[in-house]
Amino acid sequence: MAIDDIYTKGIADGWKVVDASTLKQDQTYEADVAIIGSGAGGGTAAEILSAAGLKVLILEEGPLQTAANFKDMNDARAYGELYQEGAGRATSDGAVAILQGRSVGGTTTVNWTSSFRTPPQTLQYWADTFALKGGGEADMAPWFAQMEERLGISPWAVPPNANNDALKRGADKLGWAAHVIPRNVRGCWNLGYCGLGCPTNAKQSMLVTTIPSALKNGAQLVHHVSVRKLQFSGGKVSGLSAEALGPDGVKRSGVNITVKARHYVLAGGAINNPALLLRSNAPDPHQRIGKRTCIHPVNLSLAMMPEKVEGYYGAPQSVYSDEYQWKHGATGPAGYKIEVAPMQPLLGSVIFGRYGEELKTGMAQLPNMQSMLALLRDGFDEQSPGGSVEIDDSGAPVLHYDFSDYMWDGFRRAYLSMAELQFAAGAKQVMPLHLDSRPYESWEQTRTAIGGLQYRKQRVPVFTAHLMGGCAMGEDEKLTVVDSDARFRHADNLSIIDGSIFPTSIGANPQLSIYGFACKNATKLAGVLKA
Amino acid sequence: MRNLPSSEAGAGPETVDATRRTLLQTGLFGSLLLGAAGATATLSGCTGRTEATAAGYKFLRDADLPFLRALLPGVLGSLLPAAGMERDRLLDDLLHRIDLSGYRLGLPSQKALAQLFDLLNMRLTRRLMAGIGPWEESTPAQVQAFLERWRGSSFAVLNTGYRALIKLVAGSFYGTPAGWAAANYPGPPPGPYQVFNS
Ligand SMILES: Cc1cc2nc3c(=O)[nH]c(=O)nc-3n(C[C@H](O)[C@H](O)[C@H](O)COP(=O)(O)OP(=O)(O)OC[C@H]3O[C@@H](n4cnc5c(N)ncnc54)[C@H](O)[C@@H]3O)c2cc1C
Ligand code: SF4
Repeated sequence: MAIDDIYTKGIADGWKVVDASTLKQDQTYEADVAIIGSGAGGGTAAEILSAAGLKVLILEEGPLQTAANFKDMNDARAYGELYQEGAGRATSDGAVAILQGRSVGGTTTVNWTSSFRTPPQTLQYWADTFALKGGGEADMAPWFAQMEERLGISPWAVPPNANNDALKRGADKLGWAAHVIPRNVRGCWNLGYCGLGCPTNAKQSMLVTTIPSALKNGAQLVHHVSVRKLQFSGGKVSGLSAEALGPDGVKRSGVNITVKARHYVLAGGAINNPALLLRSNAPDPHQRIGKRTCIHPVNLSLAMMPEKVEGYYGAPQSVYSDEYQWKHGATGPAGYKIEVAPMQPLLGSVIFGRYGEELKTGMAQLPNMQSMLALLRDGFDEQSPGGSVEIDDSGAPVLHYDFSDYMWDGFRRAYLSMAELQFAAGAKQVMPLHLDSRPYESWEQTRTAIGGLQYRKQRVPVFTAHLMGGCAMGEDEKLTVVDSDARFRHADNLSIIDGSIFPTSIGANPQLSIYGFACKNATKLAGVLKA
Repeated sequence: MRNLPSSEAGAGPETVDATRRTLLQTGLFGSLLLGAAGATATLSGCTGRTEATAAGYKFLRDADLPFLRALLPGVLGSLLPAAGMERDRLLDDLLHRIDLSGYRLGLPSQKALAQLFDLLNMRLTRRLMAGIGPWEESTPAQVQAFLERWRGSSFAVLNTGYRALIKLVAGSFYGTPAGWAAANYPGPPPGPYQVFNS
């Protein structure tokens, strides 16, 4: 039984899809709205704007890959071809490994399907600190509801896999809060390969929902095209220039692409959006572009369980604990959300981060390994201002990100919580992932060890899969890049619709926050452009 | 610094100069990894990877191969099969996977990685930073001692190098069938896999 990859038939039916790597000559495209990026924000905007009758053009740097590619369920292929920089992206000093998507559907094509509304504490903080208007809990509720309906988001009704069940068991034992995660799936096979591209189209990523629907509405999708510059003149964007990439998606093919549109929607995600604006010399009187880039820094803890966990099978994330997320409200000591990470061997070995015999014997126990992760909530305290995006000589993005003692304290507490949960769930050994750690036999021993670890860059391996901010929204123009409707302050016909507009991290996995704000802002924009 | 001639030849009267250059470069390595953007300007012309890539590779140059051939057994130890065709084939596969990882990196990270390789390839910086003789002559135990020093070092920049190197190698290995077997990973669930691939 071959799975319908959706696009083969769509293209045969007349969908306008261009693989720019096949172009032999320079091209000019015209549209009512040009959308740069086809991820959570771009996909949502494309559906809404095209449904309003606008002529939409979607430009995506990555390749068009579908279930027809994902059916091999191969981690090496997926990380190499579907992630930014072949999954090798990192902060400028290499201290934080960055996972971010790069294909049609953006990061939604490879994300793990956890779907949370923006926490009310976060929305309130944005209103108070950045003067965000129309983004309160009640304002946003209908937009979240609309996107939950659109993407089949509901709490996972199937029992969690053993990896997630350990989190549930530990939390129950300790009396900590733990809940079932809502997922954006329809007819999910509970396989666990969401991070490698869903082979069944069950995951309601942009690749299989909003983008096909936009194409049905007559939108055009051009992939293998990297937008290099927006031209700013007279308080407007007058055009954009882009370069086609070759079939390998890395090298430029030499073909140049020019786009003229009435309105431009920037949806390249955090890091890449600010870099594009900086390359374009976008007006930025208060130097806010790229600032406050938040990443939900992640540290991890591995546990050896007496029974098989098989963390590579089954819905990757279905249980979470917010026990330590809002203990002190939005501010105060850094809060964190606790979840688990799927454990296919490639990612597992990178997380494990050892060599020689330690690597061999550790990884040989993969079937019994339980992996816990903590997402630190950055951007809510003066000592956690997020990072900043700059560009190098070639215009490539570089993210600088530093950790203050405030954040190191968060990492330390997160190690403790994770280890405590793992032992409560019955772990034989726990290894907080740190350059100087080893597996420990008891909670007491682990607690002592965690207290004695050095909290410094590199010694604490840090990961991120949630890139947010860099084009903050709100009414305070000294602090923000776009207004409350996501309109760029210094050009009438430019909006930013994706995760880069959040002025802090979310405090929960960000995709539904992006969908909700994208839905609101794109709907408003459609009204304005059709008026 | 790829285009600086005779980095392996520098002895005698060149030593002082070479040492200065080394310190400069070590410093640059540090600042590069501590701030890719900042260092890029300083380095332009110096890490252009001007040499052609090795035959059959997209990112690695000839000079990188002896180092990586020594690094692989250091990181993987007895995960590698004993000498023979199987081992050679796996090593060759891993070199190409590492090459592709380097090729896909953005320019700032490519420059940092190229510079790390350069420092480990030039005699003086290799001695100074890795404390090890020519890679062709090094044993896996010596390579592991070098990795251990970099892991334990209080210089974050050496920790960075350590993490980058083992990530490149382990991430490549555990993406191969041999790696799956070593992790006791049975592979994708056979039932659905057959359904999708029949
Ligand atoms: C492994 C992983 C698991 C995750 N799991 C979850 C989860 O379970 N739940 C959750 O809520 N979130 C999860 N996330 C995060 C979430 O998917 C992202 O935060 C979200 O998709 C970001 O949306 P976006 O619109 O901002 O950008 P993206 O979805 O990243 O889309 C941006 C797109 O723009 C393209 N682009 C960028 N620059 C250009 C340019 N110059 N020219 C052309 N195209 C360009 C990119 O290639 C990309 O395809 C996960 C992320 C990862 C990496
Ligand atoms: S778990 Fe469900 S959504 Fe994820 S890859 Fe498998 S079928 Fe797709």
